[in-house]
Amino acid sequence: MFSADLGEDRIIRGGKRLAGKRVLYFNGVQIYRGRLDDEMAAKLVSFCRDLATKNANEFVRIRAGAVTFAGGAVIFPSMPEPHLPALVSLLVRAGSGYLGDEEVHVDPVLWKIHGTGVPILLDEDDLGLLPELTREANPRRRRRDSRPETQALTPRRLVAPQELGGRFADPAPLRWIVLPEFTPGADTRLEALGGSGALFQIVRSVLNLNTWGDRALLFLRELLDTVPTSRLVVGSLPGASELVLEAAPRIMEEVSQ
Amino acid sequence: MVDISIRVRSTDEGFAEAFRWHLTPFRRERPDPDYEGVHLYVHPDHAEHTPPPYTYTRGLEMRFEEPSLSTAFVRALTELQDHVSESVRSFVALHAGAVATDEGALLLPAPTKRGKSTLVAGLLARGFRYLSDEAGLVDPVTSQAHPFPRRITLQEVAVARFPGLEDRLQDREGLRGHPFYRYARPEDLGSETGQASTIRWLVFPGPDRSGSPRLSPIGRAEAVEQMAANCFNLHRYRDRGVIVLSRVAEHAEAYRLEGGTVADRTDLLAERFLAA
Repeated sequence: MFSADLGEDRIIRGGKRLAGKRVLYFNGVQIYRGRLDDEMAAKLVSFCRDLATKNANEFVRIRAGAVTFAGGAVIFPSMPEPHLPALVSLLVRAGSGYLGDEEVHVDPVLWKIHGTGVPILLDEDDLGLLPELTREANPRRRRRDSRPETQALTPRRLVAPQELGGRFADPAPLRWIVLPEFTPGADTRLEALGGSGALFQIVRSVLNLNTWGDRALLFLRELLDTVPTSRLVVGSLPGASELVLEAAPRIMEEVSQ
Repeated sequence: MVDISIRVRSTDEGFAEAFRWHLTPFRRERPDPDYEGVHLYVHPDHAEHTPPPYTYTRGLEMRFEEPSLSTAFVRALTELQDHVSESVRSFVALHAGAVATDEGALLLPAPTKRGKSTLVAGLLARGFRYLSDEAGLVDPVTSQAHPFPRRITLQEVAVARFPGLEDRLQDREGLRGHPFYRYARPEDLGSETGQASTIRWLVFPGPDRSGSPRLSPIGRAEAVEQMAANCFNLHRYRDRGVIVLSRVAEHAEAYRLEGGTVADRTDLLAERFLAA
């Protein structure tokens, strides 16, 4: 059960309004504390997404963004990465269908990619990349936790794909696997990738490996043998988005043939 | 057990030991932090009752109270196994006995009370390897049958059909009172648990026991329909599940089994498929 305390807004010296402290609880345990409604909504949605999908073991669940081009799906399997939703958002703004920003489900029967149906949870720091989104600025900058396991647990904002001129896409057959590496300032580039390196990277992003075990390895090996795989070094998010948009029609046409 | 991690705790040592014996084939090396708790205990409010009823809980829910420990044990085991069968997601799960040879797996999909467990026990005694007496797990990726090696559940009368089996059974060690079912390991029947295997044969045991046992070939569409009717989780896989079952039917010979006693049926299947 979720419950929330929305606090009380206060007028501080100088007539400025200070939003009340919002606190969100799940079964009595605090899961959010802050002053922004849409940030709290994003926390609520991400929590619901995790609750709703954690048992969806009829799929191989992958930590990945995913979009569609011309009826085929491109997935971006990744380790926990706060900027992945921004890359997906830029692709959706450019006309791709939206499947998922941080988690997608791979159907092992038909090899289709299913989204979770949840809006994009955009990292607060990436709002500047999408100036058409009007969001209240966070009054207090929070210090980021540097521990690797909490890298993706950043303040998020809820963004519906429609706000970017996009839409939720139906499940689509997998046509391209892109493994992103976020290295700010590096030369943004796409490289061919295959073999055990690609398998190792994609296996690290499987969320229910404990359930699928060796069967997941066999399945992913087969996927990698069939679907083109690339490494995307992301020095800049807009540059990476442009590279993917440029390469996608050619790669996906080759796979379809 | 398959997709579910459970941890059993009880205030009764005999119950805990008996459960440990049953769950040994599924024991994981490392505990899964996301486990479901199963508890059997005497509630403090009931301690004065004679005899005090045992309370069984799974997750946060109380499932039943039962004064007889042996009955509580059977109910708890059945409840848990039913829960596991219904919660399987990473396999298409058929209500089926399943055995294997070097040639592949033989699945026996059928509803309750068709003698699946006794038939499976008979086939193990004849040289098949054990996959399951209750759930045929079909991998949606490879369409292979995977083992679900729970203890084989037999009625007392069925145990008597296997010479020397009674002496080999270990199911009553430690538990006070005798459960009304008997439980066998494949080793007790001279067999072992098999590996994941390609499904070569589908045999649907029918209710008609008249006459001598007979195998009648059936078409692929009927085989898919019968498997779907005995599927625990088709509601999760929906059309994708039907595709998986079609792939199974495409590569397996399918038969309806009618007539004969369980012993006759065992002989017929062993003769037909072990020879193959």
